Amino acid sequence: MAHTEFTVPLSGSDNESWRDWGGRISQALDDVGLTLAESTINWTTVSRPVNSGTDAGYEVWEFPAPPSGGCPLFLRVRYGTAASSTYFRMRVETGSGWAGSGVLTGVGSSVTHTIGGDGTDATYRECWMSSDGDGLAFVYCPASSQAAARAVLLIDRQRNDAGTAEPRADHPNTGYLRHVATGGGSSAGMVGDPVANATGLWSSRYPAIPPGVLTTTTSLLSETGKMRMLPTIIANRQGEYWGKMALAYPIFDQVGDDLINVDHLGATRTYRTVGSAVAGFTADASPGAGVAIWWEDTP
Amino acid sequence: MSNISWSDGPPIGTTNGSFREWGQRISEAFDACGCTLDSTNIDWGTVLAPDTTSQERGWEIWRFDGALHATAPVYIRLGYGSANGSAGQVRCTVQVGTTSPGGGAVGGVTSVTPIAIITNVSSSSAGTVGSWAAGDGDGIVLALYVDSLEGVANTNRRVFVIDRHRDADGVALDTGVAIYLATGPDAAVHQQHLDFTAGVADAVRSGRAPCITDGLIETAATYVNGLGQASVWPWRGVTNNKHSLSKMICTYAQFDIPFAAIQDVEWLPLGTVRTIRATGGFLSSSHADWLASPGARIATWWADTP
Repeated sequence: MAHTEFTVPLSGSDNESWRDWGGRISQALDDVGLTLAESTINWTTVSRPVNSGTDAGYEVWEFPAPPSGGCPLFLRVRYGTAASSTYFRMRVETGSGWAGSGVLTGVGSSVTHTIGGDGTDATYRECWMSSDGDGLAFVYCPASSQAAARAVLLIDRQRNDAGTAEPRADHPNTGYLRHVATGGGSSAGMVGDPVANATGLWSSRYPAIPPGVLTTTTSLLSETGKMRMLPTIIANRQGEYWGKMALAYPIFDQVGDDLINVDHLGATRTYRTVGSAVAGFTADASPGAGVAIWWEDTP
Repeated sequence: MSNISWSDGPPIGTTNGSFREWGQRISEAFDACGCTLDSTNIDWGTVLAPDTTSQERGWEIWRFDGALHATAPVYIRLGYGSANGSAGQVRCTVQVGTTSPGGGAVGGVTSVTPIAIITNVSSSSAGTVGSWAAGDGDGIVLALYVDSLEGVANTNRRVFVIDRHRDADGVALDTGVAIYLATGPDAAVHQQHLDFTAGVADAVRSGRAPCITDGLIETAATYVNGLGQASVWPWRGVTNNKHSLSKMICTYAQFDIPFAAIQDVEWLPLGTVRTIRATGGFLSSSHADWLASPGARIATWWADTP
């Protein structure tokens, strides 16, 4: 269980900045507890792709051993360039299996999400990443001047009421969610169901139900003065579970980049708010809904 | 806990007989499904059909029977009359409140100005299946004229729910009430919560159903789970003070349960077998889940024991 902060540039025309960009993301994945299963990149010597839309290589990361009955979970990251050869872009897939040679298999493996690649911003911007072993939250450059490049990547196994990725003994499961939203307004995700070997998709929405459309001035304070957090719901045909790595919330009530304590899944846990940098985190894409990522279990 | 079905009584009020038959079926449904009549000014043996538009001929105040009535009462006002389109077109309005001050009103925390759960229906048919209702004393659901063929937009067809907030086991809570209305001509679901903790009626929300499914539900695909059971996805109600579930309504994959079938499912929570009834493809896909899935449909609670 870990979290980390680091800075990266979003664009550049030299090898050093590109290595900093990809290498620091790679290091963060290691720092939060994922295991590198395969890589075609040496971050000390790799050269930035000279062409647009080109990958320099990939890494396959493995999440810690799955809970009993759960599926393994692998993450493939391709590091490259976008519409311009100076725009840095990463593309991610997840799968419940890994066949070697960069090939992911199983649920979710055919669905690609893209992070970054939008415009020039050579300033080193802060990123956050966290993982409790059964999920990953990655907040990419929320302060970038290139709004479309800002992104949130969430990967999360289905959780029970205690926040544990433990399937019911009589309803074998555990599927997982992946979702990517950007400051440019795109939002898309999927849920993998390893039992049915099915992958369900969505776009323009996030699986958290608000009490109504949240505008940028909507407050959700309860009678006890607490802010109403909107939990992530990860449903598949095997059952409906919670997400742990992220909660939606009204950005009017809480600015971005703050650590808040939240009673969620049987404990008080710490979440880090992203604010308005990346919005729309509800089932109706409310403009006033932001996301807070899991930061640690003990305040 | 009970349920009732009826297929007679086309939803019209062109004669005293047809108006009485229509309204009495609604009244009987509340009586049969966990509600107690608190007060009324209508006699179904003598009431006259409306002779002009937008004319209310009488009202009933019902309340839930469950144990929570002692501490968190819920009163439901039904108004029976004519629609604004014609005197012969019936209209039933509903308003929910937390007190019954008398005089045909509900008070306390009240839902928005009476909504018309039935209005301007286009006359002649309730459909072969007709209608059904079910309630457990803490909630009631009506599926009305579910296979009526009247009108290109199926304007007669509708599902209406009043349901106390529920926990993950389906147990009723004293934190509030959810109100849902889905009708043939309106692609959005009317949604309102009475937040008992705050003592307020939340703003009406009109949009897709508050139900998270596992991605887009397709029309020609099965969503049976690994145990061979039809999948069910619950509806969720959120206020500033509570994140709750509904028991009276849920969503299922149209491919897996035939229209009007009464189906056992494990729900609220997994491991508990309850019976639901499928409304089929009679309403807009927007009525059933967060993605407006073409294969997602509404099912109503039917019974707690198969």
